[in-house]
Amino acid sequence: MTASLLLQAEGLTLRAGDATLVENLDWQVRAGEFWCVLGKNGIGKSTLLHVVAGLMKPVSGRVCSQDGDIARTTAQQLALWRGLQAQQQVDAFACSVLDSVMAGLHPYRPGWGWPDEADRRAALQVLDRLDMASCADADVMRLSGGERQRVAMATLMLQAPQLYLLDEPASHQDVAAQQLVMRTLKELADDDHAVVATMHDINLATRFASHVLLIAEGEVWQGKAVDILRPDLLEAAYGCRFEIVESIAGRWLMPA
Amino acid sequence: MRRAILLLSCLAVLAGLALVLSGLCGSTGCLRPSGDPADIAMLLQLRVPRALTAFTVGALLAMAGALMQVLLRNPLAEPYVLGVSGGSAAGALLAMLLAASISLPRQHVAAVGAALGAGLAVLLLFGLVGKSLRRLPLSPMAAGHRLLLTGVMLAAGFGAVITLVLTLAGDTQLRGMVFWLMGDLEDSRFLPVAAAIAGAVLLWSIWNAPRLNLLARGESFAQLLGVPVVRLRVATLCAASLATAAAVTLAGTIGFVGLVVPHGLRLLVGNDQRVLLPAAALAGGAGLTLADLAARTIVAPMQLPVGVITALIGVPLFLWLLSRSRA
Repeated sequence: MTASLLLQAEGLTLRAGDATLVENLDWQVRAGEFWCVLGKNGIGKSTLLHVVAGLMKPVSGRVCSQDGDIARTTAQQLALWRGLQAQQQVDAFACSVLDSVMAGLHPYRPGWGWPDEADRRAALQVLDRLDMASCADADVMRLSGGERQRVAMATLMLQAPQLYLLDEPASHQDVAAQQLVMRTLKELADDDHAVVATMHDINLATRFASHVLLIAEGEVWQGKAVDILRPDLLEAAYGCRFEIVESIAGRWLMPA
Repeated sequence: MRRAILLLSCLAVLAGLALVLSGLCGSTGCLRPSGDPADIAMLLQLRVPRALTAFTVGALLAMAGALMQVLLRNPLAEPYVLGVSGGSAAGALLAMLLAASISLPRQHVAAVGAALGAGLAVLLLFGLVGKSLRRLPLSPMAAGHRLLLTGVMLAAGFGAVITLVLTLAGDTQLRGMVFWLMGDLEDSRFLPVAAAIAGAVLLWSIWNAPRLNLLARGESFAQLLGVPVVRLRVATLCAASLATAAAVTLAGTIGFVGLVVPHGLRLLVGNDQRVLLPAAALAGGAGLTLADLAARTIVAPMQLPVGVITALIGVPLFLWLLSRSRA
């Protein structure tokens, strides 16, 4: 395996207020990998994504893309390297879904151009992949939470960065849409991108993730999904017991 | 795009018509192009400068309002919400009060006081929120709240100063002060400076419109798509404050234009800043020019305060737009 290294975090320490969330984390993400970041509420999953995306500075350590430390990169260059889907989307002004998605093209044409027919087709195509094409003309402020989240994901897919960062992409989705979202993320990873998504659903991670970063208090486990998603590590991280349920469809981890 | 060009052309024609009409008509009736030297003198000395002043002030206020609404991500923001106008008005009234006590004519000092007051308000604002402006807000909810609250507090403080000055002022000054507060387009000495500022703010806004479009969708959203948000927010606040300060220095605190024009246009043409900002400049200018024409002619030879007209026309127009919008 010599897939290209997309993200390299060295000695990252993250803090929220006075509490240290993650200490001295070394982490590498390569193209083709689908990472799920797991851990309890408030353990630092979102903070980690924000730091990797360059929205926040780490207390110590550094985050590197292929071109070196992201602290020395312009916002424009960063936008071509990584994209982040926030946990919540808050709209202040009315805007059509299609226009909203086409914002993802900004890194490629930061100037004054108007979107053309090809842009519109590309936006419709990503919306279609997420089963949202029928809402293309709707107002983003009138969508449901899950629909709005998929519009944000479509925007991210049109931005088409090398590194996809998603903060709880499955959280507002119904069961079918969860499968669709996770399948799409898997396809993106297989298409030589890297995907990092924070999750709460351990079984979705089991089914789709290739790698897992499990954050617990004072400790971080990382590696191949099968190696990390074990009852003993999950119990240490979440503080509740897990049982393995074998079924025809695969192995389930049931909190007990 | 064709729709945008059509809309802007229509607004430009409307603005041209408003300027011509307002230049030719006034409290003594409408002039005909007869070549009478007395008429031409009146045209050049009174009506044309006044029409241009109204247009510039309207354009400045509407642009400042549109920029504030993007910066605070709040469709109810307006140019006066951050206390710049309050500082300006307090400065102007204080200057008038001082001038009376050392018997200087009030016309000369009001504008100077207004400019100083606006400058002080902007400095205070930047001093108080500078730190949070330099940080990227991560939560889409909290962004702008600090700025908004600080501005509202400053405005309240300046409001108290204004009330104090009005209480201390003698009866002879009081009328002039109240008229200044309601908006006064008589004085066009600062017109060239204000027009230059209006032009600069318009060019800046058009140049940055694609980035402002993203900023309106969220601070971290814009940053993630490659917009240097911290710099853009500071620049937007500077542009909006400068436009507000120029408008208030030129003509006092004329209400309503800065809230109604950008918001109304947004209901009509959507929220693309590339269209909205130039449209706001044209519509704000044309609107205030026509409002001033109405203020001068409805009960001529008496002149009404133009702020009364903007509110009387603006309120029903705005409510009508609101009721026919889908929201």
